[in-house]
Amino acid sequence: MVKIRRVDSAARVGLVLVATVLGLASTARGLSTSDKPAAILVWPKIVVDTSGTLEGRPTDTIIQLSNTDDDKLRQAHCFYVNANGHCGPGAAQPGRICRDSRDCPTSTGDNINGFAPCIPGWSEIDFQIRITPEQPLVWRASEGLSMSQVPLPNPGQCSNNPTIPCNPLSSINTCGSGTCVAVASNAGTGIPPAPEDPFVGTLKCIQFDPDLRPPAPDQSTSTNRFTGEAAIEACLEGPSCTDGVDVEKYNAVGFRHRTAVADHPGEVRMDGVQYEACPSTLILNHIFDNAPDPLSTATANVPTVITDLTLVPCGDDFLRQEPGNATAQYLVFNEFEQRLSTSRKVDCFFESQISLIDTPNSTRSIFSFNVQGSLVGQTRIRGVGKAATGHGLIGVARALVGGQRGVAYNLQQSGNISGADIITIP
Amino acid sequence: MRTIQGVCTSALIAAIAACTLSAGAARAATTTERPGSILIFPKVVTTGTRDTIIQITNTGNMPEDVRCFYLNGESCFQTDFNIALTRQQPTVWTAETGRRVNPTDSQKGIDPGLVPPLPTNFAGALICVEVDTSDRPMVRNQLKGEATIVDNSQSSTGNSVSKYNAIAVQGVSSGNMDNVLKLDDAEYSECPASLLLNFPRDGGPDDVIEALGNGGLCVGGGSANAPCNNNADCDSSNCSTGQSRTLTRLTVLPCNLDLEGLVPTQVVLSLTGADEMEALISGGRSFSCWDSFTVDNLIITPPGTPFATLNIRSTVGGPVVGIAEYFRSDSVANTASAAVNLHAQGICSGGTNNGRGCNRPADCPSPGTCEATSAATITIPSH
Repeated sequence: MVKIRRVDSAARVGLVLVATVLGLASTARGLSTSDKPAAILVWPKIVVDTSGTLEGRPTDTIIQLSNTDDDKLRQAHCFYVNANGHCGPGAAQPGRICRDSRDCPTSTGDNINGFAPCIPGWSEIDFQIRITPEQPLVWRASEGLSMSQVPLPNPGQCSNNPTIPCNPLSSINTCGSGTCVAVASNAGTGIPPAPEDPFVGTLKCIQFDPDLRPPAPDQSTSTNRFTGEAAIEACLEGPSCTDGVDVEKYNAVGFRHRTAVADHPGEVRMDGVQYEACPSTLILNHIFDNAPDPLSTATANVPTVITDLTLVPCGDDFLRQEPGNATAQYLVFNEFEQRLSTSRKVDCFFESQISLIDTPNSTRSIFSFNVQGSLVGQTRIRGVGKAATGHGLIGVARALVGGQRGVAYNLQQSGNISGADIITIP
Repeated sequence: MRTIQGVCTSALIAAIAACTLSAGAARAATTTERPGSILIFPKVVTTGTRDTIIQITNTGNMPEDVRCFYLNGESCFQTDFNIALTRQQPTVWTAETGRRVNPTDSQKGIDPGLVPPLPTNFAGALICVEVDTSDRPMVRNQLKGEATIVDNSQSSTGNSVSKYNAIAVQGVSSGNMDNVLKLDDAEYSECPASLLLNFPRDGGPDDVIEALGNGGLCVGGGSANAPCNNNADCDSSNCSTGQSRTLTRLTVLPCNLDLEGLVPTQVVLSLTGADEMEALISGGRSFSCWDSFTVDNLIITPPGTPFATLNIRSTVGGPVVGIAEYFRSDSVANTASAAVNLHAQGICSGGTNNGRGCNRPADCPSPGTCEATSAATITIPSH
């Protein structure tokens, strides 16, 4: 009897070991990435202002989307999220695109005696992109890319003369003695220009399977093929653009597909099971606002540095047109290890100079060099909330020196968020 | 007896299953968005006009000792120093001036330690390693960093600022805490098997400058050679557009580093990719220790379209890490720059797709395997 009990224990140990390994595997939920190919890409900040009316200088964004698969055509279902605000009633120009109420004076001319509210907005348009193997596609956000502009518009080529394009689905043979052979092409691609100019918003692309009917996210073993980048280019020194441009570039944030899941069609879940989860904490390293440029050699009028932070929710409901939202909690550490904190709602899209997050007076902000007394800080940003789309946040930061030269950079991250962030697809 | 044997078998099967599951776990690669135990800044430059701001943060709640190494890309010599960070402390210094331990100077904050200045015309890399109080490498994965390269010349060609995230190598276990850091997924994460670069064709025009800025020069007339965007900008003459320029510089550093023996790693890079028309482009580059080069017609087949993509992998010398810096100039050479971290990709090993890029095992038909990462070794001087 003793021998049987010992062997039985060994079996239990083995089963516990298996369970432990399985448990460890399931807690490794994965996080978003900006340096590996993925199945969902988010460009948190897209800016278009070709006349410079809102940004103060003409600005446009060059968007790059690449297919890293060297064998198969891939399809992306993309969504432009328009986060423009519009001046409300009472403004001298109601409906004018605005960032805040200062763009909505109640009168024109020199005697401005008040400001109307800038009503935030959220709307989306979606479109399809078909990318051939190893192809990079690039377009300006202000112009988009029509079928006549894509590099490979023809779905077929004649077998007797590859330079002659043709349509393999057509019943009319246009190849003479040859036949029309289907080739990978960008046929079916239509990238619209940004819906407004000026425009500020987000672009999200989800890898779809081009062979599925109806179209659905690609959950095959060969998904995770896209990389993306954005370059925000703005003229220096005002609308004339005679002094050159400033370029700020960042990588799109990617969510890799993990496991094929069929029980919630129409939804992509960033939960660590179907797709990688959103990070629980974003980490922003920055120079405190209004700190002097540490590399400036000027003895007077030393240029200062400010940081602009853009946060977007991981999840959105594009079917019911309900944007994601969360509350961002900020924990700020300076070089003295001192800690201050604040929080602010992120409703669909959040963009702010960091020293205006907690106060309209930037010199009194916890993000201000005047308050913190040290040059650099670490800010940890955590999304909380109970929205049905989840409470994860992703973002990108921009640092501006002297208000002109800038850099964009991806935020770092840590921790696994609890729950799922969901994108519902129409 | 049969019962006892049956129970033994099930225990054995369960144990084997557990081992198999753990062996199938994904291998980790370097990261640019999570804290790590080793930070690699592939590009640190000081010239007469360019300097680099280094930011390092301890993201953990334990104090952190860090040992850093400046690697001179030309001589392959190294200079090392130590810094100490309190919990959650960010710190900063500029490469050309370094940072002293002086609470009364203008650099506010707890001085992390004596950071030496770099000489002018330095071009190389910075590597920082978590250590314990005895300077032995240890793993906590608390470090993150950024580098900002600034041209402060205030000239028309010197209006550029670029920023990239340091590449973090995450530690797996402290191992034997010796001076040989094994990036083998047992001590530290491995390096990526290959890197991906999207880039504009060298010398090609920039669409945004052509549309909004000085894309051209006036031809003849009263404003000959003046910058222009369209004919209306020129006095009785035409604007010859298409004169903005793009340029991409790629900086690479081998993951195999011998900072003790100062033996430079010889690397041969294979560059393969395609342009927007799927036309193949290819090229190569050999270097020793560190390299920064323009992706131009001397390096690769000229792309036939304005943009192209490139897979960068090392065929000799082990894996590399790197960053790209993009420069855009208008018709009168006003220049702006931006840096970006490169994407990582695996490489098929064996099979019909041997040597080609891959993201998943299915990309490499049997008997090939998709190797997402590649092992390397960093040897640091022992005290």
